[in-house]
Amino acid sequence: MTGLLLTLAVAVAALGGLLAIVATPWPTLAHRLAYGSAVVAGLLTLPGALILLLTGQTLTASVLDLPVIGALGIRLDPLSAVFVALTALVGTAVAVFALGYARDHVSDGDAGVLGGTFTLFLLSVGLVPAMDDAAGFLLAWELMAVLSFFLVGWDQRDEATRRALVGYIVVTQLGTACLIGSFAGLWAIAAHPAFAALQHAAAGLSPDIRDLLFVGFLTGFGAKAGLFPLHAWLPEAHPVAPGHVSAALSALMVKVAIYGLIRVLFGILGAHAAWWGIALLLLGSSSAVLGALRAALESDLKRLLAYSTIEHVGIIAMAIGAAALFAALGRTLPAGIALMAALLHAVNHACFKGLLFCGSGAVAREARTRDLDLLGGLMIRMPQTAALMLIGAMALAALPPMNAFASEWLTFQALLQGLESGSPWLRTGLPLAAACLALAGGLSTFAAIKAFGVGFLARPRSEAALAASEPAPSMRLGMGILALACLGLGVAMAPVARALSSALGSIRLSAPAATGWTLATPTGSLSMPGLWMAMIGLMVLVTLGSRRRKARRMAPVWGCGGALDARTQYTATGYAQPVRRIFARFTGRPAPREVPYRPVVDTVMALSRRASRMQPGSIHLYLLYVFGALLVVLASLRGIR
Amino acid sequence: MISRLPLLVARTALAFTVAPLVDGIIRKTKARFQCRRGPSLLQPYRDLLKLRFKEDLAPETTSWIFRATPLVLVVTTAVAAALLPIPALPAGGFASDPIVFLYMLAAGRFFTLLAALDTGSTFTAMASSREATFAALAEPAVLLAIFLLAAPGGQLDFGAMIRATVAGGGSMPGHLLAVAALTIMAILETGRVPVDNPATHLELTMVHEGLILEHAGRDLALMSWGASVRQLLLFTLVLDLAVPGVPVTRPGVLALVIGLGVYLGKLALVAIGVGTLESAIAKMRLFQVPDLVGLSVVLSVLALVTSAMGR
Repeated sequence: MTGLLLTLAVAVAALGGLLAIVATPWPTLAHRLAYGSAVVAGLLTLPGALILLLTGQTLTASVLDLPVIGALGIRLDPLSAVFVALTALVGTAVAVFALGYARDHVSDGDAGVLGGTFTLFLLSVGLVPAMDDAAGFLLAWELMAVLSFFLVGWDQRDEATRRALVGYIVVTQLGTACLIGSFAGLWAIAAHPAFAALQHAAAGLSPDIRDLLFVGFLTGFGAKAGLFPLHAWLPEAHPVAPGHVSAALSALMVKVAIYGLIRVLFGILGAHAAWWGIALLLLGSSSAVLGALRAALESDLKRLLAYSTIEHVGIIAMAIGAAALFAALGRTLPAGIALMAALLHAVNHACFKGLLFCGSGAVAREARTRDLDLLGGLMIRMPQTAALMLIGAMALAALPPMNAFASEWLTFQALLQGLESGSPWLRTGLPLAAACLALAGGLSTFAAIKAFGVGFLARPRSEAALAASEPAPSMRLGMGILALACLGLGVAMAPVARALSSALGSIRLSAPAATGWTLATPTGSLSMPGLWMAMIGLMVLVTLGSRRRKARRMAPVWGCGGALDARTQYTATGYAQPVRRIFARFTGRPAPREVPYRPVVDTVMALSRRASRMQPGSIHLYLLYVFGALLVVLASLRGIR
Repeated sequence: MISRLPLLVARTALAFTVAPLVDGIIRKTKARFQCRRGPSLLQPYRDLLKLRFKEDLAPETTSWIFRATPLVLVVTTAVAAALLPIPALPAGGFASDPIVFLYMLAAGRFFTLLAALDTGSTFTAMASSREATFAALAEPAVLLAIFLLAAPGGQLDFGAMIRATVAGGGSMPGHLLAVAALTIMAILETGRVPVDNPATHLELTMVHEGLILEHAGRDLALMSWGASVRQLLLFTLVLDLAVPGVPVTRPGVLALVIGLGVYLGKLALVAIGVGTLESAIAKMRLFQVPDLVGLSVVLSVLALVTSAMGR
């Protein structure tokens, strides 16, 4: 049954996407076909993946007997099912949102190509976790990358966007090169691309080689996830894409990299060395703090959200790092709790970041700007969108009783698990990691208050914001689904954690992190429904207990005798000034994005100029070459065997 | 859960009842230092009652965020109050999580700061920006201290932390350093001198008073009451971990009365101490506050090294 559902979903998405591209001359039809098929495919996938997850079954298949590479292995174990289900849930909501959001492209005439590419992109994102061998994984991975290149630069064709796109392509392909290198090395030793064979081969390797492979994998997946120091492309590339594409990139594509890291670290290499975990903890804390700090300073709504993605990827990486560290020390229970925290936070982040990017897309479309300094007053003009964004902003700040609070709570618990162990280094390091997590949390609360308070409250700061109105119903519905997911996950975090425990089982870890409706670890317990009931109950009591006799009177704001208007209001830039001044030491330097990439970009550009004779200048053909090159590499590895 | 409900309600009710009195004692102490007789200790209660019957006003620009904030602040503070144990009173075996406690207070502050931006007034927005900055800085320092104090008991739970303190951990150098770090942060978070002056009348220097500048009537009463309870909770948190006293082993009416008396006595001493401190030193410049946070973090790191290497 599940096999049928999932096969049908793949067929619907693939056919719908391709047909939409073919149907470009009829834009309205193509638009509906593209996003409609994405919604249908998502609705077919979700029950299939959830059944796999809840029953703990594993689905295997062998498809596409390619001429050179051979048949591709498909294997959906519970860990894969988590990410497939997540893609289906968020992908469906974002596709519903796009039905309204991308309507402008119908009149532009490119709705078919945009929609078709988007649907195929969602399909590729869902396929990556389902792949069970190196060849299939890299094919799906590269397909996802190539399709995302097309999508990122769709709306904006200016110089800055082109630079962002080039930076994105370079870093992504650099990461893919590292992945190909690591996978190819293992494949050559194992003489078979299946993950099981790779794992068997990895077990027999010397520690030095394993360390080398780990660095390769970490670079590859870290570049895609936006992990420090390979993060600088993300806040350039994610915000310039159309709203629904930004949502899919930040909510889903980044999570696929997290999936890859977990799969390789625990499923193939096995967490052997403690320094792997420590490296991940260090990179994760740096990403979390730097991402949150940049988000606190940013005045462009979508860039702020992109920086916050770096922060939350950092938090997930910290949890994965703690898990790897504990696993290397042979402490499987804390390792399970830490990895559970990583999985839950990945799920939560996908839901609220998808919501926030959709919402910022809606704002950018209705108010014609993403600049917080020109927004304001949207709470009155777009009340429903604003209320949904408030849910997202509270989740972004990890405030109770939202979903992200529960997963951040579990991350704190995971870090405390290390304190019983004998090593003084662990007892010093893990509390410092927890302090980094708290600093990131504090700064992201700052960013959430600034983004929502300046962007949505008080008076509009521009004519465009004054004229903004509620977006199309389908856009509100798409955001509503994601907001409901945030609230629902917030209440049901413990049952979700129990459902996810089979995912940990598929990488031989266990996490008894929940009983009933309570998240419980050896160091503490948290009942999210209890928290909800307490808050709602008290809310009712206080409201009843302090009823007023007459309605509030509206009065002018105290302006010291002068009149206050939109221009006397605080701006986002002004709001962040104290933080900017306090952290000037870390933010005063020239933009760090230039430092690691400049030489790489320059080299690539020079080589490209030299090679341009064989290229007619079409970026589409470039990307085909890249894809072809991957095929050649895979085929030659086959030849070696 | 249900059987513990009366205990949780009692804790919350106690916090909301006593909180204005602490404000009264601080004000009285400061008045005595200024050679004034000062208002009665019960004046804060009278103020709340007076505001309750004043007309409610809201700025024209505001949305429902502004109107809902007093309610949200009181609710989140009440949940936090229910979580914080008082050692001399029965604990009830209820898990009281420090992270939920801190994040509940953060949720209340989130709405307070949004409401301040909602008015469109420069004064409230400036206060909002400053308070948000302090909060972001304070969070790691507070959490580090809490983590350190939780480590000996092996549980992120106030009850376990208090038990570990009573069992002899309270005199360890690491513990004392962590409590000192926490005390600094409590002063910062409650907005007392030297970080913020609650008695100021100049809008440009206000932080907490600036935030509630546009609230009136019942709304203002709830906001002020919420702020007093929040202050009481942070003082109680420090008291819990610095001088917990002896936890109740055999609950009874006598134990309850003595426990309550001891707790109120300790609170009064803290209030007199804060009043004395406020009379003795001046408010520091805004951008010196990070140094204060830095001092707290340094104390915590010292505590961390001491306890990690000492075992």
